[in-house]
Amino acid sequence: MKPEFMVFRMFLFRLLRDKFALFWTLIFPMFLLGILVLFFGNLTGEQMPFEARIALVDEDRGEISEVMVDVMKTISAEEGSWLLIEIYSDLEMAKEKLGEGIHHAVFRIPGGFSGDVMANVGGQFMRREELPNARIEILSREGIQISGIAATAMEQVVEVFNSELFLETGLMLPEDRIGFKTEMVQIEPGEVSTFNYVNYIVPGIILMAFIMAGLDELVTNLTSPRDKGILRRFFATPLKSRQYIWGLLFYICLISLLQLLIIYWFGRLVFSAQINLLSPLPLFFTVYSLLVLLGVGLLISTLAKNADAAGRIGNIIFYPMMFLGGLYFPIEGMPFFIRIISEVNPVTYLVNGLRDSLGVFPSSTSMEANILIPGLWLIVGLVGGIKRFRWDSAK
Amino acid sequence: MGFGEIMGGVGVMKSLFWMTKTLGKNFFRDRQSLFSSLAVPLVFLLIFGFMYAEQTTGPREPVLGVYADESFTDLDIINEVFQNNRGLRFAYYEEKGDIERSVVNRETSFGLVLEQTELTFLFNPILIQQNAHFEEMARGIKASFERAKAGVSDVIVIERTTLTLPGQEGFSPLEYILPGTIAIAVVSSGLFAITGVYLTFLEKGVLRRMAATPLRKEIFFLGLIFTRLVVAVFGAGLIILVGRIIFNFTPTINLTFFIPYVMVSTLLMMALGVLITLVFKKRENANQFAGFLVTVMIFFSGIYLPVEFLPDYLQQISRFLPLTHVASGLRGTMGIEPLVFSEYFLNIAGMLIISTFLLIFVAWRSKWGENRF
Repeated sequence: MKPEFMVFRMFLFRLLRDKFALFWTLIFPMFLLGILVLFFGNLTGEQMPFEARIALVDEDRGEISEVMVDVMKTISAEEGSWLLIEIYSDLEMAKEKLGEGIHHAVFRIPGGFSGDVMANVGGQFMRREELPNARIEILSREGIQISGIAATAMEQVVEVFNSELFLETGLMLPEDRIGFKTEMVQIEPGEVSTFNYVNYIVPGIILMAFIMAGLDELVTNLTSPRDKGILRRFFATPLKSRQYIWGLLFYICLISLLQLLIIYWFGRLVFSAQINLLSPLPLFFTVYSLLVLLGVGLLISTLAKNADAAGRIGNIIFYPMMFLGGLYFPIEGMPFFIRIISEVNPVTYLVNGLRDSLGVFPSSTSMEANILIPGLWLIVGLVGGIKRFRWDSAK
Repeated sequence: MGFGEIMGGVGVMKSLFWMTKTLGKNFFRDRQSLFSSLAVPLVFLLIFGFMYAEQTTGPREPVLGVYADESFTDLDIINEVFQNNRGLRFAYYEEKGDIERSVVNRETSFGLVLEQTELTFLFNPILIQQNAHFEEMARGIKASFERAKAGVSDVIVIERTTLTLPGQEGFSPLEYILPGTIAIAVVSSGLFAITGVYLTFLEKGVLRRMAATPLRKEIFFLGLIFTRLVVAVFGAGLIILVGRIIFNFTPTINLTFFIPYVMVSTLLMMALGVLITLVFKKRENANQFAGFLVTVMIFFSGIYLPVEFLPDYLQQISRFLPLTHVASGLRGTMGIEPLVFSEYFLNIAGMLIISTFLLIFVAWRSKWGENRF
């Protein structure tokens, strides 16, 4: 039996014997995919991503404020409505509930609201210069993102009410109205956008699995046996170092392929992802990504003096590579030194290239950059590894 | 108390002191543990801190792409409207395709397409957390168009206020995530103390050799606990310091309540680590499971991503996660949320009872030979 195959078999059997490691390797990417789709999947649509719980305080109880309250009750009563209102007579009680997190925002109609509305409308008809404004107060919790979103949604409700008021009173004619439409940017010119967050995230998860292959599997299986003297014992046999590394690479490629298939089929069956990895360009980027990340892993193994150091370097690189590579969400508006990390990160270009080639989303970097910059990492990793990697541990 | 008992007590204290010192030195020499406990939470703080700075308020100077088709009925008021929105930067495009490309390539934050009697808000779907803010801006511009066209002004004006609770000072979304980051550091430190350090010593036979000495098992565990408590408090301090230097975080920390809460939370996570070792006998597997658990807790505890975005049935998971309660308690002691004393003491008592019981159990039952229990 060929030595490379024996090495491959050794790693494979070791994984199969360790049931938890097998579970972790194959299931974790699925888990991450599921989590991200559940969190972000409904944020890209036009509907509110959550049910906004609003405390409504009508201190006015006038004609106009009651209309407003009725409108909100109607919206709230609809099945599957994004709005859930609870009416309070006391503002302090409503604020208390807001502070406890029971509600996301407080919507307050102060006393005199209806009178101010009528005075304002009357004044506008008479072209008066000084007009009282009818105020609505929307309170949100400071620093709480969800509270801010709920308050913004309520602002839009008021804006709609404002517009309807203009029409009802005749201040604005129907022909003065401007329609408002939201539209996702078109990915392909002339086509209706079919952006789907699942299609967007699946390539990111695939690359995350490849990062783990390069930075964890390869690094650990090169540096740890070296430090323990296992490789020295291996190479006292007829086994050559190149045979060992080929066997290891075959093993890593098999595991990566398994992970890719699991991610792909999980995304397709559970979340209806529609991507075609078998087309030439996506296939190229998939294979290329794995090679580049293995090159990075080889570079780390070369630079690190021992397994501990390799683990630390891998950890230092792993999180920034993932989060600053745009795998899960785009990196926007970062300070200069964070942007630099993103721009030298090979993952940034690999994921852009893969997404663009799949037709999921156009790349914000050129196709040349998507190939050349990761290619530099691959070359440095290979050349550095071939020339400088030591098969004996440092003395 | 007799002289012998007193000297025995002094001996125990001395052993405990030396054990704690040894384990402390071991921790700082073990760069892997040091990195996992201290550097990883800092990395999270930096990444998510900068991300939150932009995503919750939108870019400092959003650029709006504008394309006005000749069919748009109100070309003459475009300049008036955009002049009245001086806080925004506009980039005008001659072709519709150009504005779409600018949004795709993120040259512009979003686009406004004006055709016939309609304004289309063109958005990039991957700017997930900023698009709500951009849509609000677009609707505001649409309202401005309508007012300008009709020659009217707003009837209803909205006042947005933020509620600052008694005992709180104002804080930003960035500061909201700081206690959560400390909570992650506490959780990691406590959890990996058992699944990492303890199991490593066990597997390498260090504990078996210690068993041949007069050293008592309880002293070893107490030393491990004290070391981790110090590390947890040190890690929390480091995160606060980095937050202050880079993000100018200045939370009002009630040290009297903050430090005990950090310590008891660390104890609780060590107890959770004990539970893990009852199931996973190998260090590698225990560590992997601990890592998996920390990842689950980070996502489901609402520290970086609001759990309200999840379906209802998954939001309930958050209530059962230790990290959710650790982060919530830390927010109270750091002035981010109101500190309810009864809840605070109940939490502390509950965590202390559970963790003490579990740690005593493992100290009592563990054998430092080949068999674990």
